[in-house]
Amino acid sequence: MPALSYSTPQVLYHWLTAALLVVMAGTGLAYSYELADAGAMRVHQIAGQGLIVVLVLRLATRLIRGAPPGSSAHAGWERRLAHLVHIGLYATLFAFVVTGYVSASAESRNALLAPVGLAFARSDTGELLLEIHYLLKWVLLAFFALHLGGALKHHFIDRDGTLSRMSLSRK
Amino acid sequence: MYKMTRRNVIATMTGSAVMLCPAILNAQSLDLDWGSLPDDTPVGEDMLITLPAGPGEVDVTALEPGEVAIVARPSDDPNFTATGGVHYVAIMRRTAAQVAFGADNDPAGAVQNAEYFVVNLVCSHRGKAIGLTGDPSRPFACLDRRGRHASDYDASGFGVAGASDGESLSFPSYSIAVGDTVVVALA
Repeated sequence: MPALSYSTPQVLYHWLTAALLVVMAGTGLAYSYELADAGAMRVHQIAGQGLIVVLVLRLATRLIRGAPPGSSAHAGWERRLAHLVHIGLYATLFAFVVTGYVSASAESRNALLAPVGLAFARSDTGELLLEIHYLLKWVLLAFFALHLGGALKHHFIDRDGTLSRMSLSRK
Repeated sequence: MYKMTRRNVIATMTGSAVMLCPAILNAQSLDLDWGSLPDDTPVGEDMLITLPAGPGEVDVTALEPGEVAIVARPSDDPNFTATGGVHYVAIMRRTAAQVAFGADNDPAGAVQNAEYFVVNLVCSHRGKAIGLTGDPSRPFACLDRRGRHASDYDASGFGVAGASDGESLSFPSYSIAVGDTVVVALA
């Protein structure tokens, strides 16, 4: 039977994921627009590996502990949409880090602990994964917009405790 | 139950939203002159010599100062995967100005004859093909011209722009004999 609220580790993983994504987006932007040198890409790759660890921990915790049930005050379509968005966020983030990891493996100087084989990383498939990595940011943005929109709706319009369930302050 | 304040919400959500703004901007890429060319094959050579796999010799006596010969030979080295399994080597006969530049900037031990600069045409970033620009100060450039890629290299093979800024092109194992003829032997 699922718990009635998110556990402290689940809340920590949630905000750690957000923090790592902030670092990755910031370093990616700084590097792409020549505001920073290759060191930014090293930080990007280190943060990405951290995100892999956090995602695995999140998924394991989710599978073991489950997620708290949606509020009975929420409409059925809201609960179904929230469920789909959560699945989408998990899937997109996993795809994001996997494609990014393979892409980074193609670089002569990378910060990966165990890069995949150079022949694969620099193959046409590797290049395709890089393109997918670039495209996935739009998918992630779409899911994030739904995620954020739902959180704001619950807090400001419905005025229920949905958002507070992800607050560290209540712990 | 603890309720998040309006300030909590605004601070948290604003931070999260800002996080994805860079991701949007990050999608942009630049189109330069080589943007439509394939990035697995060098361009701009004055002479193209193909060899079978393994060691081989090439005669580049005909090269004039400022001209470049490209040697292409099959290779199963994964470093050359992005160039279609072909190991491309440039042999550039330097101009007097490039020889002078090389005297101050060539990597130690990498150049055996100051007048003939021999270098692998594989980008130090992601292994894409390097093209020949015709610009004496930046004679080598990566064929991948997307956004931050776009690496340019000087006459000593040192990255001066793009993703490979500060890195050096790699060098093949070779020997060179300069006399009545100029012969480069690639290991």
